[in-house]
This record gives sequence, structure tokens and C-alpha cells, in this order.
Amino acid sequence: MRTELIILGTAFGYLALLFVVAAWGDRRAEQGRSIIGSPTVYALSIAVYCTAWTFYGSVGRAAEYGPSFLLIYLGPTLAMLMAPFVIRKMVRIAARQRISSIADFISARYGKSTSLGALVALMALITITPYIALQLKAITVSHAVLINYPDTANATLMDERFWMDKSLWVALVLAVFIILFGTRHLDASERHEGMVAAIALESLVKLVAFMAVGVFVVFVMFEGPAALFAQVAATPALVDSMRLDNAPGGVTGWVGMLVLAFLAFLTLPRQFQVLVVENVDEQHLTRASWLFPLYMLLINLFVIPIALAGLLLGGSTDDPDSFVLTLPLSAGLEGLPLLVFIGGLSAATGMVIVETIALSTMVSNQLIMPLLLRSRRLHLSTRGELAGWLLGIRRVAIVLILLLGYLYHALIGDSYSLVTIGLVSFAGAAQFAPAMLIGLYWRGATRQGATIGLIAGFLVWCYTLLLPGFAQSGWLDAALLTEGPWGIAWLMPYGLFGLENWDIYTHSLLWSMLANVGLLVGVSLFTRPTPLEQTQAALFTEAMHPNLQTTALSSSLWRGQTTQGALKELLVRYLGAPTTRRVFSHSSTKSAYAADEPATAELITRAEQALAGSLGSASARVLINSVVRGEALDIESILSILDTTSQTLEYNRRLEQKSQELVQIGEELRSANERLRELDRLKDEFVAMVSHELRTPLTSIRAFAEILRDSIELPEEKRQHFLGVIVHESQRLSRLIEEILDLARLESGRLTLNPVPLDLAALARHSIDTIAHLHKERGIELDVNLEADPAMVIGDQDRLEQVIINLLDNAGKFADRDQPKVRLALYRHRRHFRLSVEDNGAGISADERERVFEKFHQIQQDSDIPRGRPKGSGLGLPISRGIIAHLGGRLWVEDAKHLGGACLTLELPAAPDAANPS
Amino acid sequence: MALVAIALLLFCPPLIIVVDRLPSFNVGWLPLYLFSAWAVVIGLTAWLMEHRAGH
Repeated sequence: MRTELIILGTAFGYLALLFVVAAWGDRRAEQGRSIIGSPTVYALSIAVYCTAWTFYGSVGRAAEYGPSFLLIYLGPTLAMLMAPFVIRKMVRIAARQRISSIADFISARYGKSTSLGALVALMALITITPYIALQLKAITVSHAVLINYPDTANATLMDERFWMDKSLWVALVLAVFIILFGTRHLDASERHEGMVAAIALESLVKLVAFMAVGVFVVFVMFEGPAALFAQVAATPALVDSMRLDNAPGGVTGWVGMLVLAFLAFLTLPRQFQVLVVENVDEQHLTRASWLFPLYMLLINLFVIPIALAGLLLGGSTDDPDSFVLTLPLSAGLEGLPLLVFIGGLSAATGMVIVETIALSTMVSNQLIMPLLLRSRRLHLSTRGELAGWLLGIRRVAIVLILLLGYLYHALIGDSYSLVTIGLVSFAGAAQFAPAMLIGLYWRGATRQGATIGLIAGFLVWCYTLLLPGFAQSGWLDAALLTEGPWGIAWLMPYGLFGLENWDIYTHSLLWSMLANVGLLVGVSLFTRPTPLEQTQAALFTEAMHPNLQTTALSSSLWRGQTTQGALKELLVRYLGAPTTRRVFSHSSTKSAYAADEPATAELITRAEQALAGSLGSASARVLINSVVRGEALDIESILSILDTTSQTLEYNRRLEQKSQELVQIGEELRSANERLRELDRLKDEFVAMVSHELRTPLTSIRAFAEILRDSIELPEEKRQHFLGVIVHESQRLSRLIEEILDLARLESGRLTLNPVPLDLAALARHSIDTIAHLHKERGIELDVNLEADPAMVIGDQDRLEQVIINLLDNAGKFADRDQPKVRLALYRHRRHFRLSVEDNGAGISADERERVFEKFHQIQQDSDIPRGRPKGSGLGLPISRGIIAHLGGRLWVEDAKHLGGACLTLELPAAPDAANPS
Repeated sequence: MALVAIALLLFCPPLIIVVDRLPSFNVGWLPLYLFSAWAVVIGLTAWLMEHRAGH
């Protein structure tokens, strides 16, 4: 089954599938139904980080150095944890300034410097080309392993002609793919929808392939992880290989590798491309910050088991980098090795596609365009469109980069293992980190500082990693490594300044970063940035400032002057007529195009952004400067705008705060007003009720007095009766007025009480004696039960007696008409004494129990109860409750437990001595 | 930022030295610890990010 034809057919069939997916993605984007507008697709596209190096090399590194291979993935995990702070800022800046690559980003930060952009592009080309070569090498080697197993791959590779090398043809197919889907638009800052869709698919394919081989090895070849690890445990050498001591450089190497992976993840051109340039929504970072680390965890889950299984079964005869393929092959499988090969192909092609797009953009925009702009032939005076020509440059760059990668692989690649090439590139790309990250947060970093720091860091990287690699390959004298140049030991590349026995990558990272960061900071402190640098520094460091999101600021960055005609001519020449129309149509200036009219600041800014997206920010600035007289805003103006808007924001914030306070005060006033209205209503009601209550006895007195005045011959008996009524009504009037005064004193707090210790039982007996005559007249049967005797409380004797008499009187009034019964009980309840008065009347319904304490409230009597029942003033109970409350107690209505009617209970705290009976 | 600090603490010395020096078990504790700590960090990040996004 494993014939050349089937393998090649599957491989190129898979590549054809990528074309279909990419074309589908682009078509959907054109229809406005983008498939990359999903955080999951975004996270999968970031997984382009997992290259053939991960697919094959991780197992090799795990077999050799144990779990330290995980550091390559833990570093990016840390970086993704910081995505809401660091990467979000980068995404925002890139979107605002139409940044198209990491070289463009660094160039833009330091005053849109052409030289700095070119330097970064050149460094990226040198450091990343070996990495592309590594992917091609992985394809070649994996194909050879698949074809030649059980023979070794190297034997046939040695004899192979370059046109027989499958990776050359894969590279050419990829070149076509990238040209088709990576250069559809001249604007490199626009998203490559189809390409991202294909990369997301490739991420899924490589994950499935790797997990499939992992499951097969662990559960089929070894019947589960327990069986595998049991065999490993019996081999002490393998157990020791999984310890920290086996990590290159020990603990120092561990930390160094973590830092290196963290920095490289942020600065590798392909990662910048998918993380920043291809990001369509900042919010996607939220999901990607955990989904991408989860992807890395899953794809690495079986790395250690596969490595251990390979070492157990294959020993040292097989190349650990090929264990992923050789293990299923050794089991006699045909389909799984093919799936693994496709997974490795996915990992390699995904990286090559994105890296080549990123590099070609850098090469065309940062290296070639600035050179061409200096050429007289391309000067503005020359007629004709250049847009197509510029795309051609980028396409040629793609082919050249891929061929360069292939040449590196064909000529030099065999000298290094996968891991060596990958880590050397990592350390090279990490040199961009200081200029990029420090520039994001420190406004004082200058172009000179960044340039000198980058050059120094790059030179140290070359000296400590690149040259030793050449020496190991035999192109340089090996004594360079052991004795140092010219025999100077402290200049040994792997032991610079006597720092020997470190992991070579940590060693290189330490010295290169010291040089890079030290010079960036040191030189920046002693150099003055240009006005444009200062402006860009402010725009970068303050990128998350809310004011910078306003179009008002971005549109006012230009103060120069030019005509709309000159601007249009420039845009048509470099971007083509359709893009120019878009720029002019999106302008907020609604007036029609007029060639001689001055271009607005917003239009100039839009034109520069459009040019920056296609040619890079440095070239865009050069072109804009060629037609615009004047300058962009200087730093003072930017800061002034920021400060002014900050002040405005602060004023707005304070105004909003005051407004909220006013709303709150308004609410309180409204509430107070409603309360006042309610009190006013109650006052009117009270006056009306008092008037009514007073008028009844007064009317009676007046009527009888008039009868006595006008009827001289009235019989003596009648006269006496009428005089008795007048006296009775007068007494009632006096009592009513007394009660009203009491109530007024209670409510105003002017009621004077004389609290003294007294015996509530004795007082109850005295009250019963006082009212006994009245009860006798009414035929009331009184039951007295004084459980607590004595019952010492603190109270005013007269007022308490008034309350008890009132309760007994009320109970008598509302007791059963035929067999009236009243019961008075006094008992102790915890630290209180309770006095309850029950009757056997109709009782008080639940909804009436609180209302009986309202002023002048009269209980509605049932219609079948004959009228004539003595009525109260309706003030007795409110006064009683007020008095009891003043004495620290309470008064309420409850069900009568013994007599079945109403029960009024008062509760008073026991006097201190009585409360703690010894 | 607290999550970054936790991750750094989990992935760096001295914690990994302590784990590495635990009595040997099959292939050793270090690989198991690293994957577990990694999974915990991912879980915490997912919870925090999605919780915040929900608000």
C-alpha cells in the first residue's frame, strides 16, 4: 500500500484540498460571510506555532532531554495569559496604523524609520529562512522514512538529485498557493481569509494525526499508559531521562528556555501575522487566551509516551525525531503512518505558508520599496500605475524566499537536527522583543537606541549560536569552540566572558539580551527623538487611551496642505483606481471631488493609512511627504489633545457624578414632599375627627341647655335628667380633651413620666378595684390570674394604671352581651412581665389588629349586634401604646387563648433586681 | 496579572525542583506535575476570561 504513487497522490491531494478550502474561504468573505470571524478559528490559526518541529522534533527532544521540551509551549502559554494587556495593545495599534508586519510595526514605532524597518526585515530573513528550510527538511525526511522503512532514510537521501526531492515540489506548490491566496490584495494589512481558513484546517489535521498515533502507541502497542510506564520504570535510564537534571543547563537552562519561548512566540514573523495582522476582532483574544494553550496541551499529551515507547522498542538505532512515523510502521500499519505523514505535512506547510507571506511582505515593503522609491524611474513624474507591479514584486519575493529556504535545506540543512535549527531561529527572532515591547510602554525609547540595540543583539546571536553551528558543520575551525578566536578563552562562543557550562541557548539569550536591552535603554537616554518619533511613541504607548479611539484625533494628525488632485494622482499610481475610489468615498467630507480643492486632514490620513497597508508605514510616509507641504502633528500637539480630552473626560466624569447626586437629592426631596403631603392629610383628618368628636357632646349639651332655658315649666324630674346628661357630656368632653392633650404630648415627646420601681401585680389589683363597680353594673364576670406576684417593673404608676383600666374597660365594652367575661392574667416571660386582658366577645380580625392603635379608630361591629354598646373615643389604645412604648415595653393584640375573644397584651421589662432573681 | 504570577510560580523553580525531588514514581512526578499545572492554569484562564466576557 505504501507505494510512491499513493504517498505522493495523498500529499498533493491534501494540498489540493487546501486550495479548495482557501478558495471557499475567500469566496465566503466576498459574499460577506466571513468564516474567520470566529474566536475558535482565530485560536486554531495561532496554532501555526506548532510546526513540523513540534510534530516530529518534540518527540526527539523529549527522548533526549525529558520534559524540558514542554518549555517551548509553556512560554507561549504565559504570553497568551498576557494577551489582554500586551497582544490586545499590539492588535489595536496595528489596526489603527494599518501595520502589515513586525518590521512595519517596529519601523512605525520609531518614527516610521525606513532604515530600522529594513534592518528588521533583513534580520528576519536571515533568522527565519533556516526555519523554513527545517519544514522542508521535515517533509523530505518523513517522506523518505515512509518509503524506505525499515531501511534508514539517510541512505537514499544522500543519492537523491534535487529534482527528485519531494520538498522542492511541495515548495513550488506552496508558492502557487501563497501567490494565489496570500497576494490577492495589495493591501497586506487586509485579512487573508482563505489562507487563515486553510491554516485552521491544517491545525485540526495535525492535532488529529498526532493524537491518533499517540492513542495507538499507548493503548494498542502497550495496552494502556500503566503498562507502558511499568516497562519504563523497569529501565532506570529512562526514568532518569525524565528528571530535571536531564534538562539542558539544569535549572538555569529551564528558566532561559521558558523566557526564550515566551519572547519568540511574540516576535516570530508568522506569529505576529496570525496574532496581530490577521486578527479581525480584539475580543477573539479572550477565547484564544485559553483555547490555544489547550491546543498545545493536547498536541503534547502523547509526546512523552511516544518518546518512551520509541526508546523502549527502537533503542538508539532509530532517529527519535522519526518515532512518530517509525512506531506505527514497526507495528506493520499502513494507513496510520500515511495519516501521520499528512499531519507532519500540515504542520510544515502551515508554517511555510504564513511565514512566507510575512517575510515576503517585509521584503517587498521594507527592503525593496524604499529602494525603488529612491529610484528616479519610479518618481511621481513618471506616469502609469504601479499597483500591479508592486504585487509582482511581492510574488517574486515569495518564490525567492521559498527557493532560498529550499537551498538552505539542500545545502546546509543536513548539518543540524530539527530542534537545533528551530531554537537558533527562536533566539534570533527574540532579538525583536526589546525594541517592540519596550517601545510599547516606554515613550523615551528612540530610533537610534532601538537600531543599535538590535544590531548588537543580532551580532551577539550570530557569534554565540550561528558561528558555532558553522564550526560544528566543519566550515569553520572547530578550535573556535574549544579555545576561542585566536586562542582567547574568554571569547569562546559557548563560554563568553567565562560563563561556561550553560545551556547554549540560555547563554546566547543572556548576552544578546544584555547587549540589546542595555544599548536600547542607554542610547535612548542620550539621544533626542525626532518630532515624528515622538508622535509615534505617544501613539504607541498611549494606544489604549480612550481618546485615541476617536476619529477626531486620528483625522487631525495632519496639518500639511495638498490638493485633492495631487493626492488622488498619488493613490491611483500606487494603489490603483478602485482603492483610490474607496479612500475618497469613505471620507467624511461629503463635498464632491475637486482636483484643485485642498485635501482635508482626514483625507490625508486615510490616504497615508491606505498606502501604509500596501507599502509599509515608512514608504507611505515618504510618499505622502512628497505631495503634502507641512508636517504631521508634533508630540506637544498629540499630548495636548490627549490632555485636553483627558480634562474633558474628567469634567464629564465630575458632571456625571454631580448629575447623579442631583438625581438622588431630587428623589429624596420628592420622598420628603410626599411624606409632608401625607402628614398634612393626616393632620386634616385628625382635625376633622377631633372636631367631630367634640361636636357630638357639645351638640348634646347645647340642645339640653336650650331646652332648660326655653322650657320654664319643665317638670323637675325631667330637668334633673337633662342636667345629668349635660354633666355627663361635659365630663365626656373633658375626658376627650384630656386624651387629645395626652396624645399630643406623647407624639411631641413632651409627656412627662416618673418611672419608679413598682409592683405590676399590686397595680393590677388596684385597677381592678377601681373598675370593679363599673364591671358589676355591666354584669361582667372577671377572672384574675396573677402568676407573677410580685412583678417588679419600672414605670409611672398613674399612667400604667390608666393603661390597665383602659384595657379592662375596653374588654368589658366588647365582651359577649349576654354573658360577658373578662380575664386578666399576669405572668413572667423571660426578662419581661406580661399583662393580658381577654374578653369573650367577637374578637378582632387579623387585618384590624394594628388599626385599632390608630387614632379615633372604631372597630366595625357586626350588624346583628344591637347598637347602644358604649363607645370609646378611639384614643385610648393609641395613648396606651404610646405610654407603654415610652416605658420601654410594647402593646399588641392577639387571640384570646382562654375566652375566645380579643386579647390585649402589654409587656414591660422586669426591673433590674427582678430580672436576675438569685 | 495574578494568573500570570501563578503560572510563573508553577512553571519555575523552586516549585519544579521540589516536585523533581519527590520519591520516584514510574516515570517520575515532573511530567505529571507539569501537565497538571498546565491544565489548571488553562482552566483558570478559561473560567476567568469567559466569566468576564459574560459580564
